Amino acid sequence: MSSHREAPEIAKDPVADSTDVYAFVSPDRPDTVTIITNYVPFQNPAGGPNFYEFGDDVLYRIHIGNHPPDIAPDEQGDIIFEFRFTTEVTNSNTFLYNTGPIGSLDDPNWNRRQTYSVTRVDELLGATELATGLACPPCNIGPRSTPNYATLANAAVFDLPGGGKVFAGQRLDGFWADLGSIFDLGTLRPFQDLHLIPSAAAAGVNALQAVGVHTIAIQVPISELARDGVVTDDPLHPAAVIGVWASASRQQSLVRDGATTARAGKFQQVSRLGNPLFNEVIVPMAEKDRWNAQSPLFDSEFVQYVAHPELAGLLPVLYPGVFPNLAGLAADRADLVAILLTGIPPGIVPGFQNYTGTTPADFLRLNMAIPPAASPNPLGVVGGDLAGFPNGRRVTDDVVTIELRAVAGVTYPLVDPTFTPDAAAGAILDGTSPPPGFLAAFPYLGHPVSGYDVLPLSV
Amino acid sequence: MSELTRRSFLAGSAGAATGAILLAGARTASATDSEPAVTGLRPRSYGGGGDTSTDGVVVYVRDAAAGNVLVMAGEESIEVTDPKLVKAVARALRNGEG
Repeated sequence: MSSHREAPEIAKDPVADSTDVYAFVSPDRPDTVTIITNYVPFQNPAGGPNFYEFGDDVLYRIHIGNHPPDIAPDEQGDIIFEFRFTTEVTNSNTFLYNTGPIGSLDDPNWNRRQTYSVTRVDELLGATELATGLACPPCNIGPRSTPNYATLANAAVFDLPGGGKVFAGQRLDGFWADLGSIFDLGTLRPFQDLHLIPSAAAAGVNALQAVGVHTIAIQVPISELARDGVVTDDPLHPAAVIGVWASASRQQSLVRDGATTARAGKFQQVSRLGNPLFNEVIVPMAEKDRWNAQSPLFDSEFVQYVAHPELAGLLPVLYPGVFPNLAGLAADRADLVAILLTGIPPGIVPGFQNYTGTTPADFLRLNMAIPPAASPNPLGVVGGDLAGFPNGRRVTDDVVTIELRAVAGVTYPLVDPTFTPDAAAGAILDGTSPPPGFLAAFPYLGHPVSGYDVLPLSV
Repeated sequence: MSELTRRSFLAGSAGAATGAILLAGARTASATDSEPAVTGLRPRSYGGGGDTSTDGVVVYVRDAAAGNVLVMAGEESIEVTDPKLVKAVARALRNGEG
């Protein structure tokens, strides 16, 4: 998974579990950047009566670093958007989420609702509350409870001062992957007959089909994100690049005292995410929760796992004879270090860079001077589309395929032109398709499926 | 543990004031300790959604030998070096006030 349940402890705390981060120049408003962070993974749409929600006791943050490459990044970023949620129960005499159709965001039939505040914390200007009391939409319950769900959810897109937009609420998970295959000893469905334990060819299965998540999405003018407000159309300009990551934090202590709980202390980070699959696939299990608790600025501790990823060693073992060139590649994976930890410096990919300096840090790096692609290629930069992953990440980017191919050696010629990737490396496919229903406008991720409409899994 | 002691050390329902009083007393008893800025502790309420959360002051003995204590209240934390406070906690535990 991108980062769904990716570490042992955070897997037990879904409300604080960040699952995906997206950052891209908004295709319909190219003077803005959209950043999306998802939490609360694997929502069964029928999971009532206590449907899914954000945590009132969780501090959700989007961090943005905009330092030029010659200055080390800040531990928490130069700009932080903080989101705090408040839950209200309007009718304490019912077990129901709603006591009739929910026709609007202030419908009295809606029993358990959330509002939130948005605060911008700027390195130089301090904290500014941008909005408070904004309504989340309800979860998509079914045609009787939440008729006209799209209208209801669209009403929860709010304008922010300065020309931005914000949304927080349930969405259809935009991540797609054949998890059942990958986690069954690294099976890649196109080659399952070549696996050490072979099986017959079969179509891929998207394990996240119809699954919901809780999304925090914000759209911000580029001028408010770039260093010193510099807006440039030169991709090689150092101010064109930002580094983005998301986090969730809980207070240091929780005391259960009979039926009462007391929380106290500073917020301690328990989850973070920049590049998809970083903690999931790169960091060893024993270190995943420690990674989650730290700032990306300490990722030098994890460089070894990027330079020599476990998966790159496994592929030639699991698929004997299929990845001979990868098997012979013993050098540090400078390509992966650049893609995931420093950004790609100028001079590697013509007309492109997303370099943030030598400090290794898991940022999702976006070059804001690259305009949106007219015809996005889901393989992003690997597919010749500079507006896609790993230049930020769009909701339609096939990050599983991109990263599998990169780990398998497809991107190593960027740093060593004498290396020839195995033919299989470029043929890897996840074997699944993206979910339907991505939106053309903010917040871009599709509306969630209702519990009533989801069919049970066949066994 | 008696109610008074329970509130003093865990303060699940007693609120910030009780913890501050405890710390003030501890500082008086330990003349060599630096003065922690407990006035910066700001409680925040949770639980509008119907749970029974409350604010409290939590005292965590981080390093008993060094007398190092983390005092948490609201969304703030302060570190205090107070061997006498730690000894008082240890004595309470030994005496079975729990």
